[in-house]
Amino acid sequence: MHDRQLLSLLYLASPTLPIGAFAYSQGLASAIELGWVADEAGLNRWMRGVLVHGLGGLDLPVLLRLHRAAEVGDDKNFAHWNDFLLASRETYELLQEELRLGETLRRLMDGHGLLGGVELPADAGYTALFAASAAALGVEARPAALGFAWTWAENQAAAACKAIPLGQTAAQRILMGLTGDMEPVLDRAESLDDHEIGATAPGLVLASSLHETQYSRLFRS
Amino acid sequence: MTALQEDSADSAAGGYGPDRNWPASLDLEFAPRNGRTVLARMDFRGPLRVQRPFYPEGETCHAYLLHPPGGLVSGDALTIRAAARPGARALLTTPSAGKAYGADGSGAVQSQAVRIVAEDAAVEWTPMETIVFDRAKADLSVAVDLAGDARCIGWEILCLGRPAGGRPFEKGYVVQTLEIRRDQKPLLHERQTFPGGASVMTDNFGLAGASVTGTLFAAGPDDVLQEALAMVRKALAPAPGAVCASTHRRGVLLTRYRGNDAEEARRLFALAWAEIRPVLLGRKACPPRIWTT
Repeated sequence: MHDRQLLSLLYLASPTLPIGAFAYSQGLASAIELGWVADEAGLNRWMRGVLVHGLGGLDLPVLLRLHRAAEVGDDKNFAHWNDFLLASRETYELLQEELRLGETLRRLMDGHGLLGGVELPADAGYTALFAASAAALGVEARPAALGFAWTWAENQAAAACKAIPLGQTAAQRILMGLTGDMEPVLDRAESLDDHEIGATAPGLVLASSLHETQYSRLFRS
Repeated sequence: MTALQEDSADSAAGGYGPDRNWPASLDLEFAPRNGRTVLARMDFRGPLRVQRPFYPEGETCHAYLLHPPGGLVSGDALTIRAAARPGARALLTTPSAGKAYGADGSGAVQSQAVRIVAEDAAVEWTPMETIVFDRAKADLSVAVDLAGDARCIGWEILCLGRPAGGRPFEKGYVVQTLEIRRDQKPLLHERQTFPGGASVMTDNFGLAGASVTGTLFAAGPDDVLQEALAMVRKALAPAPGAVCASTHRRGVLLTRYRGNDAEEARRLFALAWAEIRPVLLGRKACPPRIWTT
């Protein structure tokens, strides 16, 4: 990886990227409230499961397709996979998160004068913007996908530290453990055919739906 | 068919052979005629039928789908297509639970594909649950294509294994796909894979050990669905141990169930249906008689 590519990826995957990702927990805060995730072991199982069966089945294979479309300027395929991803967001809050983070990342990248490579649909989501930004910055598909998964993991760990609450050391143990899972998850994501793409995380989906009516809300999802 | 009451892999480990693979299809077309909806066309191939339509509420055509073999074995492929012409109102249901038996030695997939097409019409798809036996290799899909102001309510309930009979779902897999489009735009796309014994079966992010999972969907105007959502949330109270949650996004209202009781899932979905139907389809719930028998 060229130095410039590495730095661009670090920029894009940084938890301090000012898009407000910290405000979303993707159903995790609700799962904690419900007692489905109560400690380090529970969080580890939740995050590994979502990584393998959620991101690995849906987000990552779609990100790879969006990245390819952005690289070659294939507007039609880019719009297709953005639509597919929006249709795959199972709940109101998961869809809102995808759309709102997409809008914010779009403004940020537009400010840098990037994003000329592919025509962005009006409702381009976060995954589409992440892919287009990575392609515009010269970050290749595989590192882009790893960066996407890593920033998801960091954000989930941070949400859990606040909501369980969980100590920093425990959270770091989980993150370090997950680094070993990401490579095989990405290998599998790369091998999926179009018709095989989809997330299987019914518990997360239920938790996210229940969060819509949760009484005390620290997060927007 | 008594032999099929048992897990097929036990009784027919060598497979049923090519004779037992029954591809079957049913093609239905509903159209309005003289103030009510008629079954304007029915083409079928293999053992799949529809009973003479009922009219328990006047205009709407109630049709019961029958699959005389009663379940899918390796290599079986069922395709059900229902098209509703502008102005038609059709309700499709099944009189008994669908079954996907344990796979035989051939390893062939057992599939059921339901395809609903409606243009400025109303279609309801409210089948009994599908029981997937241990060691099945099942591919179950529902695709709904709506055009114009078409409206649709439907559900799918999946029972994984038969834990009550000491036969949990430990091997094999089920793939369940649900797609809804309006004017070619995808509104919902779900493709869930449940491999026996995987963490997605046992862990909380997945099924948390539950053996029944179900999804109710309703597609229509967003303002109507938003109104229905509030009523559905108020109406549904699952038993302890089961989880039921509703949401509305992108032109589709969804109620999802996770628990261990297919009857409870059906009861909750019927309650949600009774809330949604008046506002979305403009008529009171008229439960098909078959539900109560």
